[in-house]
Amino acid sequence: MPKAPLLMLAQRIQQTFRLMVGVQDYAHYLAHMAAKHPEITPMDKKAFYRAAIDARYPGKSGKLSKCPC
Amino acid sequence: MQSIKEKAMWLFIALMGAAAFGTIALNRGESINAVWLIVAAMSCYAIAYRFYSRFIAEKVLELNDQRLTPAEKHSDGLDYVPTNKWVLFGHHFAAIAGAGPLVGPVLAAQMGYLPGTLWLLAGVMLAGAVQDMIILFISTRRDGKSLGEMIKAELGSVAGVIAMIGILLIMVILLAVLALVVVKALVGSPWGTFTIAATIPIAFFMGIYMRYIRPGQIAEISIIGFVLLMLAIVYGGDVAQNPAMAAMFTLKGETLAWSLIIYGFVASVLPVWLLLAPRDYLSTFLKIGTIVGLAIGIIYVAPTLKMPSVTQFIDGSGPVFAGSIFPFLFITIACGAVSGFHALVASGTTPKMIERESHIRPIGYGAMLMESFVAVMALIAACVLEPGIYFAMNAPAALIGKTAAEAATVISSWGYIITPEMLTQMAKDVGETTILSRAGGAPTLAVGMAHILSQVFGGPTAMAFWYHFAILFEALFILTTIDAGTRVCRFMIQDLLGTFVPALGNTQSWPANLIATTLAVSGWGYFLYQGVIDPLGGINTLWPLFGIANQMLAGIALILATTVLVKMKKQRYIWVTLLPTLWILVITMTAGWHKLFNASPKIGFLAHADKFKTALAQGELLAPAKTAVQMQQIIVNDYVNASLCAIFMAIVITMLLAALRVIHKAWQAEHLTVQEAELQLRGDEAPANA
Repeated sequence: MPKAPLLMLAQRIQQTFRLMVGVQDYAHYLAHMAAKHPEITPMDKKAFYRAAIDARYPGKSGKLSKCPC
Repeated sequence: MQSIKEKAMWLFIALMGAAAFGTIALNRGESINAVWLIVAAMSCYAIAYRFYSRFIAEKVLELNDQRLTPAEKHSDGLDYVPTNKWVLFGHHFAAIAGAGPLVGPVLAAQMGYLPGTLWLLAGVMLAGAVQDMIILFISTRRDGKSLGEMIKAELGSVAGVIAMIGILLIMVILLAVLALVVVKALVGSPWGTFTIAATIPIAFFMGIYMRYIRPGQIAEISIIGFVLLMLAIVYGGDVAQNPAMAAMFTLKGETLAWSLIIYGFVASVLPVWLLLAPRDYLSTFLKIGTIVGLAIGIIYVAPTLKMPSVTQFIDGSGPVFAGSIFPFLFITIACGAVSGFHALVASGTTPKMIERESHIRPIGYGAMLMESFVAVMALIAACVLEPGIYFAMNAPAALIGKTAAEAATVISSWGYIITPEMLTQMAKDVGETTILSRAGGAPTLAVGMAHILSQVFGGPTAMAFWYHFAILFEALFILTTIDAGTRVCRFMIQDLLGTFVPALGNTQSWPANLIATTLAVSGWGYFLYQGVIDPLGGINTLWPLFGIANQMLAGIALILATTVLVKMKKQRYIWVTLLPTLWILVITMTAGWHKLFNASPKIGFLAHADKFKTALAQGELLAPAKTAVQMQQIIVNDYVNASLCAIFMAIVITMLLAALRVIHKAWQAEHLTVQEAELQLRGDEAPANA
């Protein structure tokens, strides 16, 4: 069922702002896990969010997700 | 019919651009409206995007939507996620837009608005956006490999290690220069210092809230944090009025430098969720909001540019930075025209989220055009000020003296008439005791923004609020960078040390972690402190060094792009990356050469060292040194700066030589030598997906 365009826009905007700080779409993650790895229990919202923080900031590989200048 | 309409539209855009350029360039002696600059920039961007980026996408790179992207091949819902084009554009733009495009153009405004604008436009269309787009493409075709990994794979592992050392050194200089911008903005400013200090407890609160109380509620906590920040700005005004409180938050440059060094150390060993993540949320959203606000402000207010189109300082005698227009304008404005760091971002998270190859064009090329537009707005914000105010804020105390009366006399003698009253009034308007010698871009931009935004919202009484808002916005961003950057340096140092002493490479070990963090902080802290005590303001010395470093990284990225084009057997189009590569190499090498060997002590590090050596031999003391030991220290600093500059130049030359060898081989080869990830076409996926 197609979503209402306004709702869709609001979702996209929310998604954009969350992705700007490195947080992926949780619903998409759940859908992916259900489709591809039904045998694994997906992370809950809290764990998913913590994983996003760990992935965004410099870690072992010296990753730079943002231009420092 | 459609094509005639389209042609007419592009003809119209071209004519608008031409008219805007005509007004900008020919209207000498009269002040023009800032909207002309916006129109000129927009027309350039539109034409470059429509025609040049399309040419690169279709002919040079042959983007293929039938080819599966890494996001589809490795989809995991976490790192590799096929993402809507517009959403990813927002992500990528937020990742590339930092403090750089707001600082460089402000410094370059000393030469007038024309040179800076022309370089911003030409640079982004032909070099900066091309670099971002092609690196994003190369990384996407290699499953989202990082710049370092790609250099290793394409140019050899020695080149990879050298590039890694280069990136570490650039980070050190960058962190020092950004910290210096904060120090310059906060010296003797209780209001500013209080608001910045208040961001630390605010961030702690947000961090704990997001970790334990309402995890993942980003919008909610960001709004709470934003409101707290605004309250801190308002209350900061009261702090500045209260003599006891004001004294507590009125700090000298040296004290601020030490505070930042200690802050950098502590912040970078704390868990990321406590301070770094909440800061990052606030600074990212504040930045996007401010950029939008500034754009609306400029268009709505349509301010007049008071700065002449070209000033006498193009000859190299400028007070803000020394050196003539070539090559120094081109390294002063790095971000906004072409920025090497973008190559790291374009090979970071973005390539793992590209949904279709054709999206590389709007995201790689388009986002960089937008960053250039931010830089044009920063230039406008600096140029709407009275030139006298601009020079009073950006010239060092060694040139213009320490009082408004002295500064007004000196600056008026340059031909920019200003009275002491105007200078004290401006300081009063923005809620500061003085605005003199606040080099570094942020304060000037803040006054310019306050000038524009107070006309939209709040009137003249709101000047002080908007000034401190702008200072807060830049400082918040920079402190986040210092935190994250120190961590990046720490891990790189551990990586390098680990090859010699494996124990030091263990990132889980506290002693190893503290040793590497200490090394990282002392690295940038050394340059920061040297900049703070420099009578010429430090920005003078450090910004060119940073500009050279950042452009050097762009040079490396463009060399890589050129090599890959040859490996793809796209020699016909090699000029697309070769011309910007050559230009970047010419400006970095020339600027580096001047910084080393120029006979003027204002420009050349070695000439400066000689001057101090000669004075020391004759028993004289030169400012800022008060003892012979300090004289000796300044000489050592000069040699350190000179060595760093020489290392940057050596790195560029090494990369070039490494690339030439590879290019030669690839050119001779009769078949493609490019090493992309395995080609999978749409429809070839596993049937489970169908």
